[in-house]
Amino acid sequence: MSLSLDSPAVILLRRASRWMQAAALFVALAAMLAATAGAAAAASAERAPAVWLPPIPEVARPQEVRPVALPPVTTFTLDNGLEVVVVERRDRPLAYVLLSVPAGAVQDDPALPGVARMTAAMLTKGTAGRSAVDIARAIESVGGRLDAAASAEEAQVSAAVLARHVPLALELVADVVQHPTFPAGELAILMQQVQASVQQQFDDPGTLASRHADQLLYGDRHPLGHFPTVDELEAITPERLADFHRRYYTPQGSRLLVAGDVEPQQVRDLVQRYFGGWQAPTAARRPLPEAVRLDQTRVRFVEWPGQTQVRIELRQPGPPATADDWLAVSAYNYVLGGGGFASRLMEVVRSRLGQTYDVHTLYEARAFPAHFALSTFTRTEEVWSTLEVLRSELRRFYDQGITADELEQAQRFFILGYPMALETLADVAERIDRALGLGRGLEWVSEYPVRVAALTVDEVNAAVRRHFDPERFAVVLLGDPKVLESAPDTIWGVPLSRVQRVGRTEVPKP
Amino acid sequence: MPGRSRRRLAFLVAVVAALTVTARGAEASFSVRQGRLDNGLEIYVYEDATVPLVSVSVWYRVGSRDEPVGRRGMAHLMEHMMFKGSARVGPEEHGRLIQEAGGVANAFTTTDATVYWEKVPASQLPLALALEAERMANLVITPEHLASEREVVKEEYRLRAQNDPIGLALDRFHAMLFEGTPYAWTPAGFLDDLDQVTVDDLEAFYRRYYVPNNAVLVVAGDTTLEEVMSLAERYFGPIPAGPEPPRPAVAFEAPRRDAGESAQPLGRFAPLPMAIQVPGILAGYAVPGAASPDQYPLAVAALVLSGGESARLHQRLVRERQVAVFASGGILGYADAGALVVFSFYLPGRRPEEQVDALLAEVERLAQEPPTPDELERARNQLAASVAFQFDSLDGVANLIGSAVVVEGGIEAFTRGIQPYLDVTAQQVQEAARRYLVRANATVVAVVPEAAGGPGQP
Repeated sequence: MSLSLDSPAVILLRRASRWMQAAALFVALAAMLAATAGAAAAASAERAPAVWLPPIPEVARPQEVRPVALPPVTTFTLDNGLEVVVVERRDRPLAYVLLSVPAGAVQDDPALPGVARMTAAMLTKGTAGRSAVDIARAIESVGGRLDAAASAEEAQVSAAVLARHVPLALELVADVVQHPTFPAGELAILMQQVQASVQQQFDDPGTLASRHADQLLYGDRHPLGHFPTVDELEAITPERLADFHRRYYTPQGSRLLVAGDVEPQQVRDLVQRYFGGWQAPTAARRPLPEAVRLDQTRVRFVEWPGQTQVRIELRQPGPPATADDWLAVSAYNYVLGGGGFASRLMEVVRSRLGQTYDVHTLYEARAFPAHFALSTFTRTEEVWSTLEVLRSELRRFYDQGITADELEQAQRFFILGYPMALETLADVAERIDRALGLGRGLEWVSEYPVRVAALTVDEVNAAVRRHFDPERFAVVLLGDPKVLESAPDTIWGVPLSRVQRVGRTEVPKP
Repeated sequence: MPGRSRRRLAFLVAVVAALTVTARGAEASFSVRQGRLDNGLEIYVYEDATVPLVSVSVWYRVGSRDEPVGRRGMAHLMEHMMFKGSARVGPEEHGRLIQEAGGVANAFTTTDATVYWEKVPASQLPLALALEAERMANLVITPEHLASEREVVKEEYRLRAQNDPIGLALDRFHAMLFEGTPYAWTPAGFLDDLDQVTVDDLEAFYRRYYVPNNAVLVVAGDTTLEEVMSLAERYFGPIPAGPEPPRPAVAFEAPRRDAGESAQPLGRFAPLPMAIQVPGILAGYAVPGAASPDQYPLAVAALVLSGGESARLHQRLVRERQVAVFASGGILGYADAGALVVFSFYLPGRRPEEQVDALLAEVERLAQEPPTPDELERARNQLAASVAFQFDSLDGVANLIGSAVVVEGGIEAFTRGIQPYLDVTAQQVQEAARRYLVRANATVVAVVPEAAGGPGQP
């Protein structure tokens, strides 16, 4: 048996030595397109099979869809306002601790971007009682992991350990969130790492194209649109981090989830011991962002000489994950481009035309209105024809909506595949935490299959009309600028003269 | 708890017991049930009813090492063609049927193996097995499908090998380290070779390697050996065995040298100028293949070097000397050869030679300074915890089993469990370092920024 720890290095090495049928990220979403599969089967039915095998079983339809039984969940609130959720999943000797604090990038002063993320990243780099090395040794000595990071909405500190080390995990999480000291020496080390990762954006075509597309849609002052630069790091000081921490890291509004092979009473005692003394005044928090508007299509070309492919990224505004029709949105996205080999775009652009290895779409799931994204790439000489194909498929999708068959395929995948979404401890914990973070109750998790089964074609196609716009996008192309010499007069309807051209390492500040 | 697997629970309890340093003799072996069809198909079943799912994988003993000259990349192209259908299953319909049943399907190609897998609700096990049997026996390869899928595979090549600095560096690294052996090229292959592959080539490759006696079926999850055997008999049983496919061993001798001389010259070094902002070093030492007993001390060595932020590479290079912004590593283990690999990223402005020296010196220090008791205990606990977490995912277990059988020399490599790792002593780590982790055995690729104004600069 060859063992590995899933360090970034090892993940990278393993990924690099595996060549796959499909990009791993989106393959989890797929269903069948009855019409195209039938046509395809006819095309290859010229030869008799070499070996007679029994009939391939029919795929069973979901019977009587019922809510799933969740593991026992206990919730309570400390006097200081910290909400605690204990999920008892006792069949593996593992535990997972996840603390969410509403101290994400939306709380940043727009003049000082990056402070929220750096504050979170510095939590594990020193506390009143432990140095950075002490913290790393403490968690790694028991084979555990401790991570801290901030997203747009929240800062999260998580620990994964064998269950008997839950006391240590809670003690460490409590310590780093309550007593960080932001040592200047540690900040200097981390700053070098962050500087490198900011610069590495420019070494990865996929990441770079995505950053540009987000910025083009949201603008630079939105937490999802902000394009980090090395210059802005200079304004980050230990004092600013400490100030941000003082202001926004409060038990009120925070949520602690403890999942795994744990006793609720023991967890209650430990949480009281380690988090009971957490006192901080309730913060005046900035509101979540409003929806952005995109009145007309914008096109940006990022020039990267020598690339043999062109990256294509599309964005447009989308609803928040708290929207009433979010499941209808998920269902139609699945048919359009979220469903792997069953999605329309994959069928046309990859399977039929061979123009790409991957094309997929998604709706960014956030507590505030976010976006729709389409991502693909193609060999340089095919870019204009690929864009035409995409444009006509998106138009057809809007005009015709999805069919009853397509909805049924999507429902089957979501319903029958739901156990997969709840397989591991981390799956269960994060699913529950995510629902609570969006203001949904536990029943959102357990009744999910029932809600999916209740979707109707009319409902889903109404959601298409409500949320999807076949024309207006923020469009980013990234590739060798020579390809522009063969460009048509307009790109996605925008005249070439109005296409914004930026250099590979240039960050436009709109 | 309902549905709990006693076997798995017992194993996990054993792992936890093994964690305490005092419990050195604790058993931590893993159990798996096995069977075999008359046509030679090997079957391994890991029974675990915790979640109502099964992970199914079919491992073929064929990979990029088996590709002839002029056809590098064909094993991976073959993997893609396996999704293009048969008389009864349309192109890409395999994946769609699995997804319609609430599952997912994918495949991957390595140097030693080509692996097809599904994860499905347990009730859909017959469907997954029927579809795998169908493409083992009745695949139809048409010129039209080859034409379009060849372009898809070339897109994957451009994505991962041509336009990605890390992919390029890994290709160059393999070419140098394993020069003269079939590990010198990766499953990516070469664009020109991909263009040469014909339907006849693929037919012959398929007939030779995609036979039941060259395959291993692994099922993990909510099922039993009896159920799997009965279904396998039904769907795979009628497929005739083929001639035993050729599998010449890769003749690669990991160098065995003594680290007596302090000023040994570097083995092989290649600067790779690219249009990048953040330079990096990829270095590796040739080590024996995954079936060698030396893998145990080498795995512990890799953890002492790179098992987290308290490990030596991060501590020394990122924190104390602050020459790198990231430093880590791991083992690349193939059947007949391997490498202990380390790499670092650093801010532009520093000399690559200085980076190489700092990185390699830290690795080679293991020969003089063996792991401390603390370091050894940390490595053991990290191993045990990582296995416990890997067993939380059915795919994780299935991968351990398939890899043991096909790449690491046999199922014992799985059933032995982590005990061989827990038994490794500091002295054994030091001996392995003295033998393998010496400068003259190192191969280094330095990804450096192209000179300003050169090609690729905007």
